[in-house]
Amino acid sequence: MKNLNLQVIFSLLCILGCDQIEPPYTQNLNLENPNKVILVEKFTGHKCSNCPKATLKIKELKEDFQNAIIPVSIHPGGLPEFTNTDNNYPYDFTTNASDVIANDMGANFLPLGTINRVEGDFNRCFLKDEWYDEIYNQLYNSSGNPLPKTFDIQITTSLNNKELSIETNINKLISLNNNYRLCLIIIEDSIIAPQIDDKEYIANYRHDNIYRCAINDIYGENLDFNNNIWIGTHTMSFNNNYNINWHSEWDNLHNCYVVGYVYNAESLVIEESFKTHVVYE
Amino acid sequence: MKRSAFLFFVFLYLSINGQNIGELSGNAEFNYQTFQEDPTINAEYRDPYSMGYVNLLYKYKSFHLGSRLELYKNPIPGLEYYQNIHPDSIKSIHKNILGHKFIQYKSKLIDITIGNFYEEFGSGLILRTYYDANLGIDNSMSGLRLKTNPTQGVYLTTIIGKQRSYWDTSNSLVRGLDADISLNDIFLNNWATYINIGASFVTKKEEDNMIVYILPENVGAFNTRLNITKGNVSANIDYAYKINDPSSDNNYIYKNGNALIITSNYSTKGLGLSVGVKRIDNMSFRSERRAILQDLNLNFISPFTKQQSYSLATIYPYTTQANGEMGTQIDVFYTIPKKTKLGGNYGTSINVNFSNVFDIKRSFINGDSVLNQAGTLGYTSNFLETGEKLFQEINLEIIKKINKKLKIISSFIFLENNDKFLKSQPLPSNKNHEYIHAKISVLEILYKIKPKHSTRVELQHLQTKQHYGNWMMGLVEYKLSPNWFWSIQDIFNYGNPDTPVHYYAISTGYSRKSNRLSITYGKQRAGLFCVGGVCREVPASNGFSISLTSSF
Repeated sequence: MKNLNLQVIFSLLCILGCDQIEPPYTQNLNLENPNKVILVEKFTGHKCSNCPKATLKIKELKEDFQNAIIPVSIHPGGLPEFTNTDNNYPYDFTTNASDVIANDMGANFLPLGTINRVEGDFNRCFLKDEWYDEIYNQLYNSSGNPLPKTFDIQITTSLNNKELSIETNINKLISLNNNYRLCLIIIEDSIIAPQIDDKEYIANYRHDNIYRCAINDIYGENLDFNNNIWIGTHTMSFNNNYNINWHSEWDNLHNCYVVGYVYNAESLVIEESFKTHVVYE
Repeated sequence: MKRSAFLFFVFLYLSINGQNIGELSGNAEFNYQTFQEDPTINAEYRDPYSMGYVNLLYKYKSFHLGSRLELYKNPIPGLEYYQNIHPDSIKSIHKNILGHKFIQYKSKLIDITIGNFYEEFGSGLILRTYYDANLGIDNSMSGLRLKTNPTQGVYLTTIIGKQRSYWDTSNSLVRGLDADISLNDIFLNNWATYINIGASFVTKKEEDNMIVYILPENVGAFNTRLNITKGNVSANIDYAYKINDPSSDNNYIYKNGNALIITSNYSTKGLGLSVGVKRIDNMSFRSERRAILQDLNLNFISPFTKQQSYSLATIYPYTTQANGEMGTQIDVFYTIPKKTKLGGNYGTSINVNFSNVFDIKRSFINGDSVLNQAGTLGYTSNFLETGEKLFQEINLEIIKKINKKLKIISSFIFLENNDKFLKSQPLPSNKNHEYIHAKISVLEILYKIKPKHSTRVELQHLQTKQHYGNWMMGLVEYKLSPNWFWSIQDIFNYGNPDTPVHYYAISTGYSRKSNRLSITYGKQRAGLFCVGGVCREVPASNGFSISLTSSF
């Protein structure tokens, strides 16, 4: 009988311990005045039926965090069931670099995403529902105050025909001992191509923030600071040596951007990011 | 590992000297598979996979000590994603671990287990933990279990512990209580109707570790059951309810979940009838809200579709949709009596099985413009209204023994699989997920050539205009009882829209007493591998597989 009493008490404790949450179900967070800019790499595929939900999540994040995040959509060729081409999906979004990054970050299935490439649940990746928290953690401390910026990145571009010159100025704002690297990439918006969305095949889906090419290698170059300042110049061409879709008739320069990010060469965690237009009007 | 080896040798020592100090029993399994590249079936080369385990159970008077030593090298094909789940993943895929260990005291009044244990409350709607090495699932509890029988007809089980998560345990604490009561043992002693009732409660405590959502740290689920049996008829009602449990599975919605399963059976000589209906709404229940795929399931929703065993009938299985489904199943067994025109000398057995599953109907909540929006109640659902059809299957099986040497089994299956919704099938090039209609015919012939020598032939055909098109399959097996068997089979996807593909395999096996060794060489198609309604995706492969099982 003593056992019975113990079990009844135990079950009552369990029942009393249930948490029924009443609305609102979300926290009212202060998202004002962030200092840093976070890179959000979304691994996706045109044959991935759940991936448009991740794109919607990016839109929600953009509404809340605005310019404090830079989304990049990466189509990994290493997951051909989601990214290969055929008659229904003729557009090839993959690049060698996108495959290498997805593999290194641990994107073994889709959709997944990295947030400044911090350690995640899946190597350096998170499920889409966890992106919000991780972005917040990268922007604010536990008291809700904005974390300080460690680098200031300024990128200016000049375009001559399809030849792009990029000048990058990086200012180290606090004393840091580790080695840091700069990676420059091109992303492209407004590519109209098929996408499966849940059960629906959408022939003219708009693909934004598509990773196109690396300008200074997949993982960039070392930064040798002189008086906490680094200045570098790079050039690249919008031709099919950089991306197979940039053939002679391609004309979408107005929707292309240069994204630069500085990361810790040892931890691989991104410290700061910057995005600018290729064409200024 | 040193501790594992120590325990292993302690058991062995006790076994050798065990005549006077208890009994030792156990079983072991070892699987090894190689993978070679084969572009014809899109199979990739990968390092060989091996997995083995040894279960040892030592019993001395009322005490039981159990352990399972597990050995792994490389992940199970289809579970490679796990390599990236944990930071120590590279080490994790080469692991020897004492994955299961317990000490149990069992008497008439009380049964206490400390360590790892498997438990199922009722049919598992709110708690079922189990081990399936082939699916790569072990969601056992690690903690304490107490079973008591305080009075005749009353059985109580209390558990507290953490669920196993690969080499670790989950970050939540699971507590549960189950009560099974036989009313006939308490006060309906003279009734011809047997009535059993049951109730369970399970709660998980997990820290609210997200910033954006206000999450429940204690999530409880309740289950109640009623079973009535009178003569040849029985009826079961199983109902479960779960409070708000926002998770990766349900897109962080706060709707409560519920499940109802009603089954009824009738049996008499030569006739068996089973009818069931079920409705599941937002009942995925895991010990961690971030867990996905096969990980950390606390509950198990019984499948309401026939569990197929013939190769072509397993191509389009149905996977239980814990987020929502409604289904029915009718199963009829009838044996045409012996010495009748249709029954012949041995009788003829007929089994008809019908099952269908629909999605539940979801509607917007006032003010929402999106269904299942994270951070809201998600949706409302009319209890009786069905959504899209997900699956339907009609099975007809006839078993006829012609004479002492010859037996024939024939099956006809008509199925519909809404892969447009389920998206569980691998995609052929130039195709999207689609609604699949298929007709499957099976003929199995068993013939005893002479004493100890028998043969089995299987002929199967699958007809469909969708997916990979038509398939045919042939198998010949020769058995030399009681030790040897040899078989050769070919599954031919002759309707493949790209190129017809053969999946051939040859196998041999040797059994002696409770030991069995089998070796297979051949190709395996990509698809879903399912056990009891739980499925995992397997990639196409070509290579050797060796399996050794033994019990003692």
